[in-house]
Amino acid sequence: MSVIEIKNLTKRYEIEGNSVVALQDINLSIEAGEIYGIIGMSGAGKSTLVRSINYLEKPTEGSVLIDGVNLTGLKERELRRMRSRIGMIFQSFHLLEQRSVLGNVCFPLELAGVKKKEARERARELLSMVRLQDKETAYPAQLSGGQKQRVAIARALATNPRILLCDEATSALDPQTTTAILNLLKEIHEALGITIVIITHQMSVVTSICDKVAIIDGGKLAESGRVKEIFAKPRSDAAKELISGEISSYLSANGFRHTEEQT
Amino acid sequence: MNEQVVMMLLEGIRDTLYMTIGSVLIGYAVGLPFGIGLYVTGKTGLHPQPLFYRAGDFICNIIRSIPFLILLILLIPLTRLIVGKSYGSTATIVPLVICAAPYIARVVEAALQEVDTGVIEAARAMGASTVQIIFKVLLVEARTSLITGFTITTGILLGYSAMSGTVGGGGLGDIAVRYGYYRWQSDIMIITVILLIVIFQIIQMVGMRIATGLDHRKRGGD
Repeated sequence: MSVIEIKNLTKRYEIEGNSVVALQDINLSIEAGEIYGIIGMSGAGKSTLVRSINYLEKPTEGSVLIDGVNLTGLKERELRRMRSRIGMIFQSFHLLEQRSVLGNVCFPLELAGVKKKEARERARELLSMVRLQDKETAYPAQLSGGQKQRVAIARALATNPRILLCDEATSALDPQTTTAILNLLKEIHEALGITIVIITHQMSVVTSICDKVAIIDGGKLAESGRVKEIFAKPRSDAAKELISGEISSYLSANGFRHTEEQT
Repeated sequence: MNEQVVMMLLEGIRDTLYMTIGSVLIGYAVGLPFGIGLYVTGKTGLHPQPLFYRAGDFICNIIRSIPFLILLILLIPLTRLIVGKSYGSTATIVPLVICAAPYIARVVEAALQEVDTGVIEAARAMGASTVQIIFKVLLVEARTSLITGFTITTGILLGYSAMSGTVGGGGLGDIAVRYGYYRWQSDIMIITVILLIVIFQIIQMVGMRIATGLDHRKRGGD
């Protein structure tokens, strides 16, 4: 059984009487322990898709199953409990600015009603896992982007989730920090066996960390499968475009010049 | 200056503080939940309820568009009903609260709107309920703006409590009107004005200090 199963998911928004389709008939299965990339250009609908996985966005049609449980049928309270078992990190970190680093990591535990002392112990464990044990009394404003994202990762893992959703988690970071964060995610994946879903517009993120990838284009699933296979034989135009973009950026990063045909 | 005048001024200070603090506290008891309600039911709130919001919005605007001095007179029957009389410090608290509550609601609503919606989304993703979001995210993250708003509101109510002196409200404003306006004793009026300035400065200073002291957003270290 898949950990995450998205079935015929469609999301429409009503904007001033007009219906805008953000996602159309998406089907996706993510197995336990996979690192799954969802890639697309901006506006492709990938952020809406990841928000559907924990029902921050309720689908217009179709359903999302987590461990076989259909989220559509859940009551508000059950849905909240389900969400606490799915960690999530964001592009702009979304830390609580008025809480210390330790307070931020304790926050989801506090929401779940864990005792303060236990929560602190657990938070310290997590902070040492993300190598920020010496920053527990600092406030987010005093941290760098990479450090903030590591706090966010520790916070997302506090409740021992089986799934970690990453919404453009490295898009606000420089290349070195991006690599460091991706390595940390890999480490966590190996240590905890957690299923990770990564939303990104950077092909390099997918190639460096993901087992499988889904390509979203214009609200539709263009293609999905193993990263290596798609990289070797892209079938859809969207995949070809993303991969050629990756190759040309690789070439230019390594001193090759773009030619007219490549751009 | 004789002892009688000093006593009178001290009583004036006491009455002024009583009216100001009393109306701020009761005003917040009404205005804070009102403001949270406006935020939650507003267009970008946690549970948009256009009808509820529009009703609250309308009430807020109506009361806020009535000048305080006129509100003071309009509310005399209500004040008499609640307090038993329409003059004196306690009676003044009634129109002060009614004037302050919608203002406070707006101040609170604006402070909460400053909280980054991404942080709220993150809390929702962690499984937070609406009540948890209000008490553990919104009110905590917005606390600097809330305290700044509280300070400004207290300053305004200090001024309004003095204004109520014109209709027998008691306090320093009452003294200023009686001695300065009716008896042309400008020395006493000047003293009351100085006292009001000093009280205002203290409120402003203490409030801002607390607000910046509790803000962890832009400070280097501690």
